[in-house]
Amino acid sequence: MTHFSTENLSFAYEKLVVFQGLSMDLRAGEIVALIGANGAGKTTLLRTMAKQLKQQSGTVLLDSRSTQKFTRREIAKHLSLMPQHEQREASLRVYDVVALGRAPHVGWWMPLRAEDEAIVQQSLEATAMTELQKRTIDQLSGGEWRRMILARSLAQNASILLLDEPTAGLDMKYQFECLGHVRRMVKERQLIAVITLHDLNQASMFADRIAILANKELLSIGLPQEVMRPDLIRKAFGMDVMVVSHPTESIPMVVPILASPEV
Amino acid sequence: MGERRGNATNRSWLLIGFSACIVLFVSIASLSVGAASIPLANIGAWISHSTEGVTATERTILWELRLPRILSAVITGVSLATAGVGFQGLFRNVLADPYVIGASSGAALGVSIAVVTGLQVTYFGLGATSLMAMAGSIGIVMLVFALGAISRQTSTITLLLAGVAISSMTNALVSLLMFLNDQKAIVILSWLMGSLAGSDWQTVLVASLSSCMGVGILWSRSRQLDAFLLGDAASQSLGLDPLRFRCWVITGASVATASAVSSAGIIGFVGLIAPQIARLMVGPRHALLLPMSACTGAITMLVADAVARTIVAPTELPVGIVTALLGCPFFIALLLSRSMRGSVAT
Amino acid sequence: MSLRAFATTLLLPLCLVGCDGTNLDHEDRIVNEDGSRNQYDSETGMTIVDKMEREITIVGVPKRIVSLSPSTTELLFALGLGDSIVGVTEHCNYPEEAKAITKVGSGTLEGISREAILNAKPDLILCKWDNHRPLVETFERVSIPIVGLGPENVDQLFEEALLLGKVARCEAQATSLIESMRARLEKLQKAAHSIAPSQRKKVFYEVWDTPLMTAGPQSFIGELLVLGNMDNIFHDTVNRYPRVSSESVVERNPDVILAPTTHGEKVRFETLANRAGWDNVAAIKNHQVFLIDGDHVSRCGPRLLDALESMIQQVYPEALTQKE
Repeated sequence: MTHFSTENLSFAYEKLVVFQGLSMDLRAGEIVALIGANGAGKTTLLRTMAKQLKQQSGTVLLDSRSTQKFTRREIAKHLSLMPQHEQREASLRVYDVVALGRAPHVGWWMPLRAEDEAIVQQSLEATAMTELQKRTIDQLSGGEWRRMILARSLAQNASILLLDEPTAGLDMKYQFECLGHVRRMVKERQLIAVITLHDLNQASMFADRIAILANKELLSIGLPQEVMRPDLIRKAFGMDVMVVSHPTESIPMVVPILASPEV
Repeated sequence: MGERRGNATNRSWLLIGFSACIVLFVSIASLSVGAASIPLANIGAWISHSTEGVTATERTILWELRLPRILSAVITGVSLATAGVGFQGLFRNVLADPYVIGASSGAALGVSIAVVTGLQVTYFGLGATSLMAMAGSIGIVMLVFALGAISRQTSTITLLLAGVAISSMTNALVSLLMFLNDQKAIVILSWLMGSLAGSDWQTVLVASLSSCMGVGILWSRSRQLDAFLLGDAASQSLGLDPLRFRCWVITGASVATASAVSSAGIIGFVGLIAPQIARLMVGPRHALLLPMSACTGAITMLVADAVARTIVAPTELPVGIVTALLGCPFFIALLLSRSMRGSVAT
Repeated sequence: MSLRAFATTLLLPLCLVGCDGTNLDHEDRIVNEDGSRNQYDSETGMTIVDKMEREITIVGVPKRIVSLSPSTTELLFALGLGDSIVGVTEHCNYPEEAKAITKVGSGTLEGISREAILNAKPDLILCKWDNHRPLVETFERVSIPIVGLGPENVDQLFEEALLLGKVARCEAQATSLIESMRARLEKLQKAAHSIAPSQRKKVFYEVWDTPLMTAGPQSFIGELLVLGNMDNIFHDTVNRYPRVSSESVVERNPDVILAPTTHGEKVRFETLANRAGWDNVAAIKNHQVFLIDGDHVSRCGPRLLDALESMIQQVYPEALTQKE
C-alpha cells in the first residue's frame, strides 16, 4: 500500500510565500480534490509534491521516506504529475508517448521488454485509447489528449497521480468521462490521486476528500459534507454560496448567491 | 495493434538502411569525380588492390586527396545533422541549428586568433586552426551554458539569449581581428566559407573519433529527447533530470559540431535541413530520427562536395554555398509533396 | 552570416587589389646575396628557405612548375621559364602564352583544386606564402616541394627573381632581368625626382569606392608612390589598405587622384566630382583623375615598372618628356 503525505510543507518564491505549514496524509484508493481560488498555489503545491519544485521547509514523504532522498527516476516509478499543459506540437504518436511511461522502469536507453509492451497496451486499453494509438498527438482532441496522459501515467505504473486541472478545456461530457476514468482507476488499482479542480460540485461528486487551499495554508481537508460549508467557501473564494443537497445523490452541492438580493 | 506499430517502425528502419546504402554508393561514386579524370576501371582496380593500370599520380590523388575528403564529408554531414537534431530537441524548435548557441562564432574566434598570432602548434596531428576551431567552439558553448546556469533559471530561453548575446560579441571580436589584420582576413574568410579540401587522414581520424563521441552521447539520449519534446513538466514527471539532460545534450551536440568545424570550417544549412528531411521521412522519434538524419546529412555533404569540386573545375566552389543551393530546392520539393498529401510533420 | 557579409565587404576590395601582405619589418630570409643560407649539393639537392621560413630541399632542376599567383607566373616567363610551367590559376593572363597553360583553379585558396595540381604532376609548386598556407600542409604530405612566395616591394621582387633563378638554374637570366629592371627603375626615379620639391604633387590613390579605401605607405602601391616622388596624402596610415573618410580626402586636398582600371567604371570623373564636397578638391577642379592598368599595379611582378612609368606619366608628364 502506498503511503503519501506532506509534513509542514512550505514553499516560497524568493521571499514571496506561496503556502506554509501544510500537512496532508493521503491513503491508497482515495481521490483528494484540491480546490482554491486562482493563485492560491494549487499547481505549486502539486509540483512541490512531485519534487519538481524545491520546498522551503517541511517534507514530502513517499512510503515514509523523504522524496528528497529519491532520485527523479525513483520518484517517477511511483508518482506521475499531469500538468495543465504539455507541448503538443510534436508529431509523436500516441503509442510512443504512452511508451515513454515505461522509461523510469526500463531506463532511458534499454529497449522495451515484452512485459513493458504489454503494460503499455493495457494502459491504452484502460483509457480507451487503443484505437487511437497510431495517431500523432497533434491530431488529438482535448479529451483524447487527457486520456493519453492518463494512459502514460498508468504505464508509468504510478501509484500516485497528481492531476492539475484535468478537466480544463473539456466539454461537460468529457469532463465527467475523464473524472470517471480517473475514479475507476484509483478504485481498481488502489492508487492515490490528487486533483485540482475549479468546479466545486465536480469535486464533491468525484472526490473522497476535499482540501481547500486559501490564505497560504490548508484551510480545511475532509469529506465533502464537512468541507462544503458556506463559511469556508466564503473564506476561500470571497463569495457567498448556499450548500444544498444533490437531488438524487447524497452529496452537497454549492449554489452561488447573486450579490443583488431582489432575484 | 502492436504489430501495426511494429510495421511503421520496421518501415522506418528499412528507410534508414536504404539511406545508409545510398551513403555508401554516393561515397564510392564520388571517388570517381574530381578535377582530375580517373577512369572508373582504374578506381575499381585501385579498390581491389590491383596495381595494374593505375598510375602513381592517380593512386596519390585517390588515397591522399579524394578518400580522406569523402570520409571527411561523411563525418561532417553526420556530425552536423545529429548536432542539429540535438539542438532542435533541446530548444523544441526545428529552426535551431548546430551553431545556435555560439559554436560557429567560437570556432571563428579560435581560428582568427590562430591565424592572427600565426600560432604553430600541432596536437594529435591537428594543425593550429583545427585545434583552435575545436577549442573555440567548445569554449564558447561552455561559456554560454555556464551563463545560462548561473542565472538560476533553467529555462532554455535563457540559454538561447545567452547564446545570441555571446555570439554577437564573439562575432564582433572576429570582425575586429579581421579589421585590424586585414592582410590575414582573407585566410579567416576562406575558412569561414567552409571547405573539405584540406582533409587528410589525421584530421579524418580525430574528427571521426570526436564525432563518434558526440553522436554516441546524443544517440544514448534519444528517449530522453522524445520525453523532452513533451515539455519540462512532462519530462520531469517521467523521471528526467532537466539540468543533467541539458548538460549531456549540449555536450554531445557541441562535441559533434566541434569535430565538424575543426575538419571543414563552418558549413551552414546541413545541420538545419538534414534533420528536417529526416523528420519528414521517419517522424520525430529520436531513435529513428538520429540515424536517419545522420544519413541525410552525409548524403547532402557528399553530393554537395562532389558538385563543389567538379561543377566549375578546376576551380572549386566553397561547399557551404553548394549545400544551400542544392539542399534548399530539394527540401522545398519534399515539403510540398508532403503537404499535398496532407501530413506535414513538424 | 552577418559576419561573413561583413568580411566580404571588407575583403572584396583587397582581393581585387590582389597584393599579398605581411609586415614590412618581417625579417627577410629568403635568400642572402652571398647565398649563405642556400646550399646546393648535387647529391642531396638544393636547400632553400622560403618566405614562410620553411627549409625546402629541391632535387634536380624543376621541369614541371605549378604557379599559383599571376605575379609569379609573370616572373617565371620573364626568367624564360615559361616552358616549364604546367599549371597556373585562372587569373594568370599575362603573357599571352600563360593563358594556354592548364588551369588548376581560381586564385583564392578555396578556389584552387589540389587534385588538379596533383594531376599536373608538378615537381615544384609556387604558392602565395600567406594565403595558401593550407596547401602547404597537403603537398608536404605527398612530398612535392612547395615554395611560399609573395614579394611586397621592389627589393623583395629582385630577391625572389634570384631565388627562382637559383632553383631553376638560370641565375644568368635572373641577374640580367634584375639589372635591366634596376636600370629602368633608376631612370624613372631620376626623371621623377627632376621635379622641383615645390612642384611635387599630393596624390590620392583610390583602391575602392564603397567603402572608400586607399593604399597606405606599407603597401606595394604606397612604395610606387614614393618611388615616383609623389606625396601620398595618406602617408600616415598604418593598415596597408585603410578605409578613409571622404571628409579627410577633401581636407587633404590632393592634386591628383589615381585609381586602378579594375573598377574603371566607378572612377569616371563625373562620379568623383559629384561626391559631396569633392568639387573643391584640386584634382577635380583641374581634371587630374587618372587610371592605371590594374594588372600592372596589383601585381608585384616584372611589370611593376610599367605601372610606375604610367603613374609618373600621368602625374608628372613633363618629367618624362624632358628626359627623352
